[in-house]
Amino acid sequence: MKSKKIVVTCFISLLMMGMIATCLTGYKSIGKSLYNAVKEDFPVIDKINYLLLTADKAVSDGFFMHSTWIDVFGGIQKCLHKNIIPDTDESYTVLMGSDNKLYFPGSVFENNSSDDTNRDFNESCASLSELYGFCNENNVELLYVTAPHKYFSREVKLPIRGVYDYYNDTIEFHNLLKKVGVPELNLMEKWDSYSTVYSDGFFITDHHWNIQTAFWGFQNIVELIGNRREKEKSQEKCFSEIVVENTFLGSMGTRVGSLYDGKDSISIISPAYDTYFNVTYNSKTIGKKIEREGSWNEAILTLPATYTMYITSDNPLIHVENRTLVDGRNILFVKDSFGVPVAAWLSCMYKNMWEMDLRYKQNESVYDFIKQNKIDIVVILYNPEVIGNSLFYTFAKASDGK
Amino acid sequence: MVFSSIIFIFFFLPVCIFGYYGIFNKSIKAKNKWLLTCSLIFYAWGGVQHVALMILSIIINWYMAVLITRESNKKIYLTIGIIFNLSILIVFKYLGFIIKNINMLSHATIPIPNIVLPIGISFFTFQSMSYLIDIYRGDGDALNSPIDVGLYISLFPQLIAGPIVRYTTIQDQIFERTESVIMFYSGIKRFVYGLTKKAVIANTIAIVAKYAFDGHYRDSIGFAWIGAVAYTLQIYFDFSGYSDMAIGLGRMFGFQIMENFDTPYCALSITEFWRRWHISMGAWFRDYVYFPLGGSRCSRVRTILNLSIVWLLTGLWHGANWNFIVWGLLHLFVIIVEKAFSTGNAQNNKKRNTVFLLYRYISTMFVVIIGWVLFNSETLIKAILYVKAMFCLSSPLIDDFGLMIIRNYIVVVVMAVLVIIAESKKDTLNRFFSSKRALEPVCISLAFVIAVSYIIKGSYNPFIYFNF
Repeated sequence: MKSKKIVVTCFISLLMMGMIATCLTGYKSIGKSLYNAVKEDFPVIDKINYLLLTADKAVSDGFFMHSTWIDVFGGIQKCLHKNIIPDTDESYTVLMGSDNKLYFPGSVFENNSSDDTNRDFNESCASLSELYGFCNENNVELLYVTAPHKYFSREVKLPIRGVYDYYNDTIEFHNLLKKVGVPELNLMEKWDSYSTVYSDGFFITDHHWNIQTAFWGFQNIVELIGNRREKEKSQEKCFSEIVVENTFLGSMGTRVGSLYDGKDSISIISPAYDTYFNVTYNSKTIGKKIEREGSWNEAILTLPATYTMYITSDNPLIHVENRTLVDGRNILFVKDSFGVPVAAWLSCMYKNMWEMDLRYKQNESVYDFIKQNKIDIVVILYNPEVIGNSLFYTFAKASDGK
Repeated sequence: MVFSSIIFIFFFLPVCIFGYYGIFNKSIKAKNKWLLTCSLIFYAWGGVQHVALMILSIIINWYMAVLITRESNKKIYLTIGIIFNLSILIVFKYLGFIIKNINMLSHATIPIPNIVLPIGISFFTFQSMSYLIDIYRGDGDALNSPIDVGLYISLFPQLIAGPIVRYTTIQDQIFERTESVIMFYSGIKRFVYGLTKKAVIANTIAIVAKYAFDGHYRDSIGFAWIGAVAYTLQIYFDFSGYSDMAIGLGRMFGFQIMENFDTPYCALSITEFWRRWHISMGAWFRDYVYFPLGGSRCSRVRTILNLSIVWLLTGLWHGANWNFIVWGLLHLFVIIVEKAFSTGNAQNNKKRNTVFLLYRYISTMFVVIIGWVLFNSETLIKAILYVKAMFCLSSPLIDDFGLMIIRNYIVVVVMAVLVIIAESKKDTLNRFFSSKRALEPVCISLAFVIAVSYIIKGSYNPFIYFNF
């Protein structure tokens, strides 16, 4: 009887404590979700239903010690030797590859064919060709770069069939670019010059390339567009590397916890010479202007040590002024998340570096931006998944004739 | 809101418990009002607009029961009440199906209304009809207050997925029930057990069934069978898990809710299966449809007719689709065969030898599994294609993907089978835990932590019986 009383008391206390602890630690995120739900323009009944649904999800996502519970879950899956970890959203199912790294299934098609009718390679190529023509007319250099994709079917087996391999897409698209004369760099095709083991170039728990691979990508870019001084400064001897072990849980890792496949180490590759930067951007997460000034460690690197520690995560437009350069060129870097660390190293080479993400900066004219900011170089870096997606290749305002 | 959600477990439930035992514990009336309020809020979470329907149902059923008690023309008021409850069901659940078939047969183009199915409508309308019929028969006393009727119909533990609580089994508990530490502890045990069955086992195995029914059943005979068996396990752990949670929650508030499952996958005949599966529904159809029609106390032809009506309604109850009706008729056919050869009798079956028992068990499970394939397929055509794939000798036995699925899910399937075996040895298990007192709370705690981790991860979480 005594033990039963203890169990009953503990059970009720645990439920109450869970509720109170969640309210205390998660009130900001839960409050924000509910506030956004209230702002939606729905009829009253639908709004109430949507609010209740949002509350459900927000409470679950904001639950006390959320990541620890995910770790417990991941640990159980590890004990069960599962290599398919489903998610409520199928495209976020986590797969363990034959290389013991984690993957998302992404687009799953039979026989590796693409059924995505929204991807138009020719239209994207035409858009790039037009931009290249404009750049030529204005003495601006242009380079289009494709980052390597984590999943390469020749190198790794996944537990489910039909996961799309983007390698052939990159070859096809870059051939189109070559035909129209757009300077291009396909890092997926160039891989053999970097490493014999493909998966070594990527994080275990994240879908991005690791920092060392991103640095290799950066060096390849500067090799093609850089002048003599820029190429010298991009050499490995001009940078130092510190590795922070077992610190980063990437996009897949946050879904299965650290007990499933561990954490990644993060390399902090920093210039070995004196630096001084001014960084400004409007943060899309907090909606305020951010300005930082100082050396590489003060202005460029942010804590904690994760993939997005280089300047910040994806934002519409970030400007980095390198104040140690008396004269130097201006670069516009149009990128997706694969360009995050690359942008930081480019800011060491150039007087002004603008980092632009077209997912968050729509209806802006890249053409006008190039002219207004006296851009000398335009580098576009995307991962293969976005090839053919018009969102990433719309460089002009809708009203422009271009 | 579902039981296996963080907002229910860590917000709704503790607030409900606190209000019940902390604030409103002065009188049973106050407690009942609090529980009714909580139940309506619980129901509103699945669609605010449906609360109005629930309240209307409560008021109409309460009033009809009062009139049945007081007036001389009891039958008229019973009929009005039954028609009202069936009308709700027909309009919200079957109207689209009826119109679709009229259009198909007569080539008409009557627009099919897009009506959202209120959660649990089949459960609470059947409970409401049970209330009226029991009052009419004199098996119970009509409740004077609509609050008490509301509590009976909408009590949140059993509101949206049963068990279908018969009025006679619960009427005394509305005004007088035992709340004790032992009862509450028993409720926690049962709730956590059900939660683990649902969140850990059912939701995990559901992925395999989903892969199979999404098209992978075509890949090999093996995968077709893997998918069918996976669904067989999923539906049991999903539904019985939910019933366990409902029974456990009821006990936390002093209610003794009837058992709804009794190891159905240990049955040796389909007749026995239906005495162990969804017991509350089977009992409802038996007492309110089969027996009033004459049951088996009439000619053979009439008995078959009575059975046919019951099984047609059973199929229809589960969904407005032909594959549910065919599923019901499949079970009807097998039951008739069993009655004809007297193989449905559980006592008789137990006296036979092992080989015979094994044969009976395999043939019963064979019918059950094929039935579930019919049950889970979107259309009759898809069901036929699936069953065909299960016997297609030209397909490979198993493919790489099938082997991968086996590797990933074999442990959970073995766990599921062990749980089924353990449930059939309930007494042995209870004696074991009684002798090792510290072990039971440890197991409960561990199961709770594991279940909560699965819920927070938020993987695939279907609730099959919510479609009813």
